Amino acid sequence: MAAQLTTTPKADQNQKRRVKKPFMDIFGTVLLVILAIISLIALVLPMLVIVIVSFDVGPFLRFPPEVFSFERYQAIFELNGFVESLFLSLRVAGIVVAADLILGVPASIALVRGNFPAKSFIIGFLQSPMMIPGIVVGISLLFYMSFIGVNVSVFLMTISHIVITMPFLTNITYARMRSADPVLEDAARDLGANRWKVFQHIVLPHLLPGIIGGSAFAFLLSFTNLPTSIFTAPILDVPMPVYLFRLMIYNINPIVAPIATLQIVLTLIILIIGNKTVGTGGLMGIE
Amino acid sequence: MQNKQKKVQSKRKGAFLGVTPAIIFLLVFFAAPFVVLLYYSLLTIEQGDIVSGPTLQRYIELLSDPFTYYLFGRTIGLSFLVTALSVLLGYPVAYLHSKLKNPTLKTIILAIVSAPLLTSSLILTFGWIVILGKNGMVNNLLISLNIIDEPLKILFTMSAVIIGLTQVHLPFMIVPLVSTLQNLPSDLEDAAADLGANKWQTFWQVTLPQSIPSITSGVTLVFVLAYTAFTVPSLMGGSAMQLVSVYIWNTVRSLAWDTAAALSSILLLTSLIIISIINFVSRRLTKWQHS
Amino acid sequence: MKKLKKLIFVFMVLSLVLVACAQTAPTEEEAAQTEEGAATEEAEEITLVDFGYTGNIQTDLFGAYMAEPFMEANPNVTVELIGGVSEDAIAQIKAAQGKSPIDTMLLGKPRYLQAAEEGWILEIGNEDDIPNVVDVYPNIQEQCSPGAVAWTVEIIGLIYNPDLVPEPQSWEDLWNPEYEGLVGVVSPSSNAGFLFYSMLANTYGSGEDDLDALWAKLDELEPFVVANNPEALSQLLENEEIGVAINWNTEAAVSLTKGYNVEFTLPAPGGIGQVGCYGVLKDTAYPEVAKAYVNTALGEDFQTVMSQAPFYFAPVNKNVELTEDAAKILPSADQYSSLITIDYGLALPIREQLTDEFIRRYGQ
Repeated sequence: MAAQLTTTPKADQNQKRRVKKPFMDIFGTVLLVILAIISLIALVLPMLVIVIVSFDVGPFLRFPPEVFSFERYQAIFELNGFVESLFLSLRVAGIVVAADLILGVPASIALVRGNFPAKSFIIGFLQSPMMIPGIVVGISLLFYMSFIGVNVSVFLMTISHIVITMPFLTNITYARMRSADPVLEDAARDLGANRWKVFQHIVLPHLLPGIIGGSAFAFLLSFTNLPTSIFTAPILDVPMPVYLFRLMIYNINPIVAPIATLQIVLTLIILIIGNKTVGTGGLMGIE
Repeated sequence: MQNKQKKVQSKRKGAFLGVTPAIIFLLVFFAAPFVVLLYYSLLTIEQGDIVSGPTLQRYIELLSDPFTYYLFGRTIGLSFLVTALSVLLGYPVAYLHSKLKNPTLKTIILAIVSAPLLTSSLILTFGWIVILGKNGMVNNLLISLNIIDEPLKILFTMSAVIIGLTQVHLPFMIVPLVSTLQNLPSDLEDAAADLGANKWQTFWQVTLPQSIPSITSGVTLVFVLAYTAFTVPSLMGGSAMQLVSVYIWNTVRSLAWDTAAALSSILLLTSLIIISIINFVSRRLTKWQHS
Repeated sequence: MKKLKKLIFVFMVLSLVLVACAQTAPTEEEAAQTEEGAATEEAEEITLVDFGYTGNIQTDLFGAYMAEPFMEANPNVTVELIGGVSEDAIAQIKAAQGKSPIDTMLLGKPRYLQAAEEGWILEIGNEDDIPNVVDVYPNIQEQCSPGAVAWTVEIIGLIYNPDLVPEPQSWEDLWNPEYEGLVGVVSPSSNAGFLFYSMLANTYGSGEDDLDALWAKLDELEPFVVANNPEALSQLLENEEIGVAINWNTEAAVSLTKGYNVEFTLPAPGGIGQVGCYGVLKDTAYPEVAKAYVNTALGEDFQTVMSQAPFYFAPVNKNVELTEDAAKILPSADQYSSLITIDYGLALPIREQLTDEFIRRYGQ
């Protein structure tokens, strides 16, 4: 793809270079701005539209809506099982983050500071779930449980979420740990601090932004995961994404609009907090 | 520095204990299930019950069936199209962001790019259903402009899946590009301008080559995510969509677990092969640029 | 190398422990539950999980007229109604090798046959277990014996929008030009689709397993719209994206209740009938409570309510009389015999192949 981009317009431009220098500059700038605006509009459009139709009424989705009402918001509370799903997803995401931290943070510290064989192999192994499609992780865990003969349960779903989110958290804390200066830790140790003290006063403060960012990301990944959960979630305890999926695949239920709007508002709040604390760029890992 | 690091590391032989829990966890809940998946793909399973095996029967059947090639070929083609579209639409955003001087505008662009990343693709898909549906935004707009009389059928077609996948994965292309273009030293561009190059030449010969590594990581990410995506194809294409992930979902539901396991293994293998090809091409491209 | 060996050893031990735990834990639990169940089934707090419909109207029916009266009569019991596609539930029942949190379940005839063959339901189709079974038409109950009880007859006919298409007189009419592009069907993974395609294969071919005849006939019908499930098909009709849908009578009832301009008809030579069975899962901890619960589904009270507006489920209890408006949608008892029935012996073994090839041919 990159190759295609470089060849065609380049040949074009070589021909016209001597005659129409300014034209190409203007044309290029206009094209660039137009493409950028198209993609920026496409990026916000779905969310904008959801917020607007959430105030409509009636059994179908339509745009533009003809009335303004809170009917669909009131209907959320009458939805069978919605609140249970929401709390289940929140609970699972919380446990997932805790497990990720317990498993991931010591691993990333050990990988940076430790000295043992096959380190790059281990790093590769810890990252490998990222390379495996979510549906394959879900299906293989479903078959694994069937192989052992255990029922599909919330436990299994939680495990599947830990598998897919742990690499992301480990990656972020690992990168953070690598940028830490080991001399500081050495100095502290020379001054008589024990392992725990060194961790508490030197390693942890340095890791903290990574831990917070990684946890937030892992939480979000777990809270919104569908491809894995669709195979590992039990029929009785349905997490939020699977619940919404059912509302959308059986028939397109407009009640999804207000629920989606609430999630979008949550996203905006996270964005604003992120912007005030680490900057919008920092939130995305952009320096 | 190097020396100091070595000295520090030599003190921590017991550090392996730190990685052990994570490794054991992944061995038990990730590697072992994966072995079971491979094992199931060698069995004959009817209605969820193991009948016989292990044989290579399932793979022979799948690989001698033209439909398998059609299914995978179509999904790969779709993913390449989506990847191409996201480069085409993503690069200008990152470039514009790097050229803008106004910090507020920069923040707004970053916020627009990161919002879809923080929202679930399920919700974005729902938004597209509203936009592309029969009484949706596009159809009503076109009808009110008298361009069409009858609503177009966009939802539940391939076009809808392409639109949805591109939008959902666009941020994965833009984010690595923004951080590269942002940190690109401006002296090179200035030097090119001093030498009489116009903006186009500077872009093609200075800026673009420098961004090849981040385009590669964006392309790899978008391709793999589009290739294995489930949410968008199943909801915007319908549950009979002939794409690998939706098809696998249907085989699991109809209890043809042997086929599901074999197809999952093929999906995984092909995606790994394509990732290596993309990275190989990108390395070649970088080398060629340097020489 | 030594470390690697140690690691492999640790891993093997751990997986063994995990497997062992997994295999013993449920049995211990099970043992505890059955012990407890026998002794205290009547006194202890019990939660009964019933798997059935997803639609709001049907959920209301089972919630308000079956679960609630049952909970009032048995204060220690909580009935939890779970909706969904039986496919998904069965996939999980199979994944857990028969163990499931579900206690009672609605099973269409094909699903009943599968469950009976694979042995994950209790045999309850007799008077001792379900006393109300004596009031059920014997020829209908026969369909769900000995594993389960019949609670309704579901009928596939045509739901159409009279503004868009004329009333179809026979199934053959769907191939007429005035319906072109306006016909909606469901995928064969759903029973409504499966039965319709089996009927086509039988009518235009040598039997329910004559797929070549089916594909030839369906190719002639193209273009048609394929929905994932009956509910989605109804929505397409309500949204006027199609003019006529091959769908359940109960779906017609739902659309009519919502006030849509649709009509239901049984085209010649007849609607396609499928007996709806009610089963109790073998793994249930409270078999007696589950049976008592299923028994109420066959009782005169529930059967009367479900046969009336807005539910319109065909009753199977001999003592229930159809109201006037219900008679328009539902066949009377003597009409049951004129419904087209499917030879499941021929149709079921090829269901997986039918579904798979259907997706290949008519998928997007």
